[in-house]
Amino acid sequence: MSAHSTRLARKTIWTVLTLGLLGGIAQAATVQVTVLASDGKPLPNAVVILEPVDSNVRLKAPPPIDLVIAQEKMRFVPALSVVPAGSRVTFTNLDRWEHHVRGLPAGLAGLSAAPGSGFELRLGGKVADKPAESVTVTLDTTGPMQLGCHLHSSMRGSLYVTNTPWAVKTNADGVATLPDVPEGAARLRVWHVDQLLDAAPTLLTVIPVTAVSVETRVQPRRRRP
Amino acid sequence: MKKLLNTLILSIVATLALGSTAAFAQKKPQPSDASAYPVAPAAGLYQAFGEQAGIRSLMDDFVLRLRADARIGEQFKETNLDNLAKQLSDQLCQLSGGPCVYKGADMKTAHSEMDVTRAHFNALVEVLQQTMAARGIPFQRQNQMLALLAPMYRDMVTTR
Repeated sequence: MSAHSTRLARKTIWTVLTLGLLGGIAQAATVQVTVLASDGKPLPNAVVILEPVDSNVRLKAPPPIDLVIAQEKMRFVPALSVVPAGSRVTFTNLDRWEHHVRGLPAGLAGLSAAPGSGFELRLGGKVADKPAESVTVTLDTTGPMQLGCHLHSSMRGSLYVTNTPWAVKTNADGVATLPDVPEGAARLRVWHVDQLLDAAPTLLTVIPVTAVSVETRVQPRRRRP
Repeated sequence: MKKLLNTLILSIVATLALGSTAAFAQKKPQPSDASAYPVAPAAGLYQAFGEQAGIRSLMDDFVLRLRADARIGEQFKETNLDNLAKQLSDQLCQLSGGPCVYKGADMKTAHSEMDVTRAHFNALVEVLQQTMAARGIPFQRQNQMLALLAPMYRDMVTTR
């Protein structure tokens, strides 16, 4: 090894150490979570929520977004969306018949929700060559919401309103990737629309590359292709 | 002169309209959201069911019987029965030759998210027969109405 490259190596080490110290408490890591249904198969459309145990970690709330959820062929498309608090969600009816879209806190919270909480939107059917009817709502209350239709009880959808950057939905392979998570101890929670109760959080230690697998007792409602 | 011309045009339009209506009535009805497999209704079927009001009260009774049925009641546990009765009324009114226009989902889409078996379908037909019999609709008229609905099993039965 030449003197030059040794110097370069030393310099690099110092740079890394300095950056590490300046970077503050912890290094950012990527956490990959695989969520499994009760039958052991990957569980898509679950929400993975990670909370650092260290209360000094500042949660940087993600900025609100604009999102469109279509009502198409008796479905909400997409069926599940994770949105930052304050986001504007536009419901657009692409079906030829009307829908009465309802949004309520999901699960047990929905049963005890005060009358008038959530929203109810009447969207007329789409007429050929005319723009589809749309209504936009702003979502300020964090937590899971269930979407339904007053006229068509088979329609189900959900929204997860969040104020943390570490709430991500699982893809078709049951995998959620959470970027820029601080290293150290963290609690991991999973939410799914078909769950009966909130499961206890999983404790994990976040290292630069963390991959975990979480088993749930959720068996998703079968959807037709 | 202009007035005369207008009258002439109007009468031509009226004649054409009448002619086309007559021709249309003889043709097979077109597929629609009410039925993808349209069948020409038997003459006087709509009147035999008591027209709009008669069909609506028949359907109001029908949906309650569906909900109470031991075989298929569970399928209607969360159903908006009032809306179902209204949609069915519009559908049967249109198919039987009445002036209604059914504005709901086509049968395939309407049942796509439900697990409907052949047994469910047959049970529903039986409940409909009981409902019609309870209202004194003659057996022949019952079967004429069922003939309009029966081909739809292809779109409704999603579990085989």
